[in-house]
Amino acid sequence: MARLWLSGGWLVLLALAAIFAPLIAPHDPLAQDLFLEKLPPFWMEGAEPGYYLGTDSLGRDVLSRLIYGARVALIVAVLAGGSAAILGSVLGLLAGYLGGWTDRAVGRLIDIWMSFPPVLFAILLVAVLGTGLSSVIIAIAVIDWTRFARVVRAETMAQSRMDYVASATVVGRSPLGTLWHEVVPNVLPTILVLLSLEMGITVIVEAILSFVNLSVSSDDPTWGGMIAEGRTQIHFALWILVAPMVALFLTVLAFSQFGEGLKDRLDPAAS
Amino acid sequence: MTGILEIDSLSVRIGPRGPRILQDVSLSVAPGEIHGLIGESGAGKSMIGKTVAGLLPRGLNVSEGSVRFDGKELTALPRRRLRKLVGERIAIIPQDPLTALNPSRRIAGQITDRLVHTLGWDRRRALLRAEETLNEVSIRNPAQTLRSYPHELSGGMRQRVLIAAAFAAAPDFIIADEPTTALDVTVQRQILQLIRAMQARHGTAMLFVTHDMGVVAKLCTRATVLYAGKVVETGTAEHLFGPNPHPYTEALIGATPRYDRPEDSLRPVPERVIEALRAEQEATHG
Repeated sequence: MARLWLSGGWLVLLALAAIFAPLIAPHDPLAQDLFLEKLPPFWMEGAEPGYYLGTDSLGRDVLSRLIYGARVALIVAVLAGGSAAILGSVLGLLAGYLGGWTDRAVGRLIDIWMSFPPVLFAILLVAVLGTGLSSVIIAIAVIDWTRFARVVRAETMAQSRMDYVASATVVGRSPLGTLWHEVVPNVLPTILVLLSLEMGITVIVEAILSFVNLSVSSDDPTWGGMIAEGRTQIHFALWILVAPMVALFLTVLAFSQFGEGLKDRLDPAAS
Repeated sequence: MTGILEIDSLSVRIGPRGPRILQDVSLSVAPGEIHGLIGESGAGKSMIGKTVAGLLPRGLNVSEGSVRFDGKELTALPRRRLRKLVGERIAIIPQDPLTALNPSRRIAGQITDRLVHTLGWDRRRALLRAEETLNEVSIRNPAQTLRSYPHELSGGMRQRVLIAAAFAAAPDFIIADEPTTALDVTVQRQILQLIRAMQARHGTAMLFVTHDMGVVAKLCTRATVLYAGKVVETGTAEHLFGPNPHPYTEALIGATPRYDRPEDSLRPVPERVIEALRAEQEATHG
């Protein structure tokens, strides 16, 4: 229970910060001031009031950049995670429910897809599609649908063998009606749990892509971009590196813990 | 004699030329009768019910014979027409009440499915009927039960709900597929009594699949004994439990656990009976 609330709380906080970034952020995340470069965070000596987490090598406020970076992270998590979930679940449901050649076709496709190393595949796709937020989202959805398809297919097969699916067919529901009314509600908890885990993964992938400068343009603050910049200053200003890493860590942890909590909560027999 | 269900020399195969899991099965269920279908695990009892309801698993097909329901040949019907006919006139009481109810839907929707989707009743009338039928199966608080999810009910309650769902649409025929197997012994007794009472009140013809000779004795007018997909014999309850049933039937009766002689409560079917039966089936079915 505590797990669900703690992780959910962090995610809500993050979402609010991202939505209201212009109101919350103490500074313009892009404003440079070379007189104020590499200021330490507030608890260290030499900190400047108003720059709570210090500034980076160009004198930009780290906290403001973190808050704006949350926007990119969450947009990618919701859109890329959501698209992967929809694409993978639809294919998994059809394969698991229809069986036969549909199942074989989807199964082979999943096998082929999963034989590509995901991060290299993402870098390749973004390189082909061109950098930018929409390319990142498309790349993640196109790669990660297999996570959903595999699990949803197995779960659908198990559910389809239940007697209530047979009786729904007997009372005259169409096959797609049966799938929608009888199978989907029972597979949905699995999809939601997977979605939460997937969102954590997309945040990491986005960070990786922005670390290698393949995500949004380097003007916009992203956590991956901040880590890349911080890396060069690691001997002079550790906080520039640590702040985005902590944000990334907490967010990914929150998504995975939220998924675990949901799993316990959504099991109808356990509640 | 014409029954409501007439199965004549039915064979079901795995694949087009695969082994036959039912061979040359004939049986007839008279209107208003409870017809037992008894055999060991794997004898093909449930497959007969599934064939009638058009629920054979993928890959299994009727290869020979006929299944006539109320004069209509079911094996010749296209899948869609068969489904419609079954939906309107035949109900099934399933084996396992745990998997027969959808865990994420309330009872109300699941009882009224058939009334609303197949028979086209409006929802309010269907709900009233559902409540009435739940009353009939002695569920104490029908209104509350209708609002419940399956996991909120006990196994026995769920089986009552499924019996109510089967009788609610006043079907002409009910296939009960081992409806007490998944329940504990005391609940089994109550459920059997309930099924008998409901059947007597509605006069619905029933095919009652079971592996328990005791159930046949309590419930059935006549019964068909199956072994390895073939009929051993069909007879009235008096004949099957009388002085000279088929030796295999006698052995099955002997194999029923007896609590009055604990030192000898479990008797397997003797090897020589099985051998004799196999030889007999070889001779008649080839």
